[in-house]
Amino acid sequence: MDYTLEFENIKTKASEEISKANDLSSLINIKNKYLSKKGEVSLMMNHIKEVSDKKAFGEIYNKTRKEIESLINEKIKVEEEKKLNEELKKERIDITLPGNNYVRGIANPFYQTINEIEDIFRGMGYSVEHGPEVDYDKYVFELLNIPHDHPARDMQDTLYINDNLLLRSHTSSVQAHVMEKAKGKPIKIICPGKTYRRDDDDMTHSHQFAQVEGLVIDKNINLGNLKATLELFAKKMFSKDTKVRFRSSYFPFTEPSVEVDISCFNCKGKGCPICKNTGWIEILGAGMVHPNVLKMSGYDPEVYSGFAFGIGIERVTMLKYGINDIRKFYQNDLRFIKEFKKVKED
Amino acid sequence: MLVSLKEISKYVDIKDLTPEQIASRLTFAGIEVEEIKRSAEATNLVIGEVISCNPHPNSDHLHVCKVDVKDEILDIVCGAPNVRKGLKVIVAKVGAILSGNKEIKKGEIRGETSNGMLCALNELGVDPKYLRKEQIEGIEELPSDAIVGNTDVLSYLGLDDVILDLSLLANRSDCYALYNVAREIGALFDRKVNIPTFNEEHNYIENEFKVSSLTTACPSFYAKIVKNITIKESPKWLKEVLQSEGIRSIDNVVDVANYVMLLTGQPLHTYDYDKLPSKELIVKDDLDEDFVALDNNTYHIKKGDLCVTSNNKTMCLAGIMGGENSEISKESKNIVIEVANFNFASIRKTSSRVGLSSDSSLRFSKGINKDQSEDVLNLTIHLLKEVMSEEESSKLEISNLIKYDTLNHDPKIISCSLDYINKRLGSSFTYEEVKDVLTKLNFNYVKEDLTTNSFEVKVPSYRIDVEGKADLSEEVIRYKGFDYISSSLPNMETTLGTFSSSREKERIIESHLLSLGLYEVLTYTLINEKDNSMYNYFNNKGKGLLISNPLSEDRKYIRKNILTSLLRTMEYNLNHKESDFRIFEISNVYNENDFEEIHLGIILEGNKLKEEGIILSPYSYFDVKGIFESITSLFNIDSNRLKYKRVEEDNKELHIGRSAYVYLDGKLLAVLGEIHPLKRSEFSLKKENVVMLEMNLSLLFATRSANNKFSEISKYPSVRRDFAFVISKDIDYILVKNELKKASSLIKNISLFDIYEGEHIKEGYVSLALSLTYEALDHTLKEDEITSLDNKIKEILLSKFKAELRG
Repeated sequence: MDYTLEFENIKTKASEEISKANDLSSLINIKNKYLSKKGEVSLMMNHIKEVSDKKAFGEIYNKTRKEIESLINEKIKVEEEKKLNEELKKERIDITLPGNNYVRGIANPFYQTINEIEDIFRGMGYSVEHGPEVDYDKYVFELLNIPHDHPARDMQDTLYINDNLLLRSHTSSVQAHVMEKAKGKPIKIICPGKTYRRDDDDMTHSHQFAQVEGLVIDKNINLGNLKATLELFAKKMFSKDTKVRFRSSYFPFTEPSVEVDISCFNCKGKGCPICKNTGWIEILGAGMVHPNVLKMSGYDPEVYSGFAFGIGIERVTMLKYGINDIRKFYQNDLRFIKEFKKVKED
Repeated sequence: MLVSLKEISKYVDIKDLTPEQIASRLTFAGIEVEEIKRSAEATNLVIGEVISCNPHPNSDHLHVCKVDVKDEILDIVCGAPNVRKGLKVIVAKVGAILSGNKEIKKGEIRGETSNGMLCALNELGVDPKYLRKEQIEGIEELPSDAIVGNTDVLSYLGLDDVILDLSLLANRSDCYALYNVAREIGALFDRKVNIPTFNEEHNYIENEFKVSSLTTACPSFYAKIVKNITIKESPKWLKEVLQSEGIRSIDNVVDVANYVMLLTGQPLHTYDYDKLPSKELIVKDDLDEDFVALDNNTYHIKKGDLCVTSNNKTMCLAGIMGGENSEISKESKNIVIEVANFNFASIRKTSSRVGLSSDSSLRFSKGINKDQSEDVLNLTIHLLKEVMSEEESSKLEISNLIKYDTLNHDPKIISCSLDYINKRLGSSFTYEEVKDVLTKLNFNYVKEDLTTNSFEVKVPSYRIDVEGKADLSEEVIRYKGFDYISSSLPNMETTLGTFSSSREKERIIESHLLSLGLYEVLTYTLINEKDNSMYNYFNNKGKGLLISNPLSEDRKYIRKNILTSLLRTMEYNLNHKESDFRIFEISNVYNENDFEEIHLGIILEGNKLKEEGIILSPYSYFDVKGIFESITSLFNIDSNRLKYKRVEEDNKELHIGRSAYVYLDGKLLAVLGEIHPLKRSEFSLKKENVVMLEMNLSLLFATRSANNKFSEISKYPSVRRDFAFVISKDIDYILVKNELKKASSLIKNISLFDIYEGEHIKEGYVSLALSLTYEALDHTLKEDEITSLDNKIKEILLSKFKAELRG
């Protein structure tokens, strides 16, 4: 007797039932109905005695069993996933609620500017140095070619601690310190730092402000080197097409001395309120280190020359971001600082 | 410095140049023109005569006038008190635009027609500070010979001038002289400059009168005596020049002295010869007496102040202001004219000490040309004659030159070369170009070597700022313009850009704290006494450094700590409705001995938040401690080197139960904790949580950190054992931990995983749960080893710490 058809029928019946089943318990019932010891497939085994080709019967039996089993298991898997999905749906949250706070803090834009300037000059091979804020007259004035009673002392009303000790009125004081340490070797440094003057605080003046001093000394340093350096700086700091212009000026510690203007990054030279319709913005003072300054610090001015510049941190920051009141840096209104959550450009 | 272009045009031809062209060229050459001003601005003016003037029927102060302006008769209502019939006046006709864009319109004033306005000079834009009170309160009274119908009124008034306001830097004090401004403009525009020189003969020899100086601060003193002078009002031209230059006219003699100072930069002083107590003027600097100056104020003269004396009495506070005792008055007949040199430093010192400055002291204190005394006196005499009638000047008796002079008047010579100039500037000028510039700027070539292109020049005596060849390079480039330098980066040995070690570490901490969500703030170094007396824990018990010349009490002390400033920042923000924030600042602080330290300050205010303000938990001691530990771990400081010590019980600034000092190798590294309730009101706090940290970064940076060494990871399994026990709160956790750690080298790690106090735990006790990891590098731990370790731990907890083991 051939039971092939029989097995085929059981399989068809089972598969119909499986496909109709729509929950786990009915699937388990189906499993029991066909595959348990007394199940329909299992019971077929009783017929093995009646067949001659037992091997073939066994093969069909096993095949049928496996096929039904896998059909049921597949369906169980589907049903289980369905059930899990239902549960997960119930666990849903409002995905628009705020995330936990891992937000980075923000630095007062003052520091952002300092870091930016440091990084630009470090990229040009400058080392970033430090100099004291409370310093001696010798370093702040004398060694910078500003002897006592020099008219240039009028330019900076200084805050004194005593006759000899004072709060530095410019970072140029670092020049003398650095030269003293370098002992005649070439120098290529910048030094950011706080400075102080006897000024009343208003929108554009502050008794405390900061500068970045730059100093380069070597054989054959010239004014053109200063210009190229500041051009590179201005392009990085403001925009790629920024132009630099020199105007003759005076500082006791440089000769020639220049005021440095950059082309207005806002209007590109067409004229706007930021540049007061001139197309140019005054950005810093600079010049060739005065031979007297070199001499006093142990450099032979016949052999060595150098340039120096001083950049106002607040001024640069105010220009760059359109800040109209220098006191805002020192007020630390967090609403103000939060404005500067900016991604750094290029 | 105000520069009248009308005056300048007397010495150099600038007809074809606009004021803007001149201003721009000067500015780029280092003489900044801050403003271009017109001395007056008004249109549609005409000179008129008041032909009738009657009281206004509806007003007690207005007048109804008929004014003849030649072509017509205008009805004008005028409110000036001095309006009257017959007066020659300035009429602004209908349509005129006056200073401040004020337009004159046809109108009615209280029922009377008014077709124009009678003007005062300030209404034409003349600065009231140059006008007398009656000139401002009333209308301008023109002389009776003024021509009615003249419409070129500004030019008639001498108000058609353009004034350049120069903002002079300290090196170009020579431009406080109009002659030198003319020379500069002439050079910059390549024009001939005609500065007149005069040689005035004396007509009597003065044998008696002597001048001298007993101090090196007055190296030269020149004088002339002029007798039989006539003192009167200055002529119109002189008054106009002075007005343009911002100086009020006094009388002809004073005005001439001021005018000469404006032209030459040399301040003069004139004495009433007959008022001098002796026939001498001696400069001294050792007096101590009261002195009544021309401004009628009394000043106290001290040793060191330069004084011009006669018979040992001060006649003049030298270079600053003359004395009342020898002042020239309308009755003066004979005068002494002083042209002296006073040391700039001396004048500056006295002027700032007594709080008195003048046009004269301004010029002296910047430094003056010392080589022109005789020329100045000649110019003065020449002008004195000009401001008197022919008859008056013919009576003048002019003395010979009386002088005291210890100065060396040899010209300054500078040697330089073309190569030096081009190398310094990065330029490629030719020898001829350089020579052309320097010659135009009146540097005369005295020696030239064309084989080496080197040369020697004589510095013009008025350029006291020029000292050496570097200055010559500046002269060349400021004249030629900076476009002549070729821009190229320095050709130096390549170096690696580096940070100083402390700056590098500061930036690491800054970036770390920003990542933790803290905001970086910037506060003032200078604070007031009260703020500087709080929160000082680092070697800074003294008063600290204080400013000897502070601007205000609020900015008098150099701060010794950052915390107070940060607390003030917190207070500001709380007052502006910001809350729940964390801020930090890294800054230098100074102790008594001007010793600089870098400190970090941190304030955590309010609550830790999710975004948008859902509160997670209030900030606590453990938040600042956690931040602190994250920093020390950044620098690889082994936690064993840190010792925590509770703050003193009498501390009134920090919560004594929740604040600590942290010592690193025995030195105070940080103080951290919660604000003391008694300090809350100082910073306007209500219920907010405030925890803070101040840390001495200089100490941290100077400390050797542990090297990162690789230590072998055991190949054998480790065993984790948990112990829960109840222990007195008087015992610090760290003691327990350290003690247990010491028990065996097999203990790899100890960590606290639970703290509990409250229900079921008696008052004053706390339940701690520790997890210990046992591990050996060379074998798997055997059961008996583990048991023995367990017992050892239990024993320590029981006997050493009287702990009670749980479950």
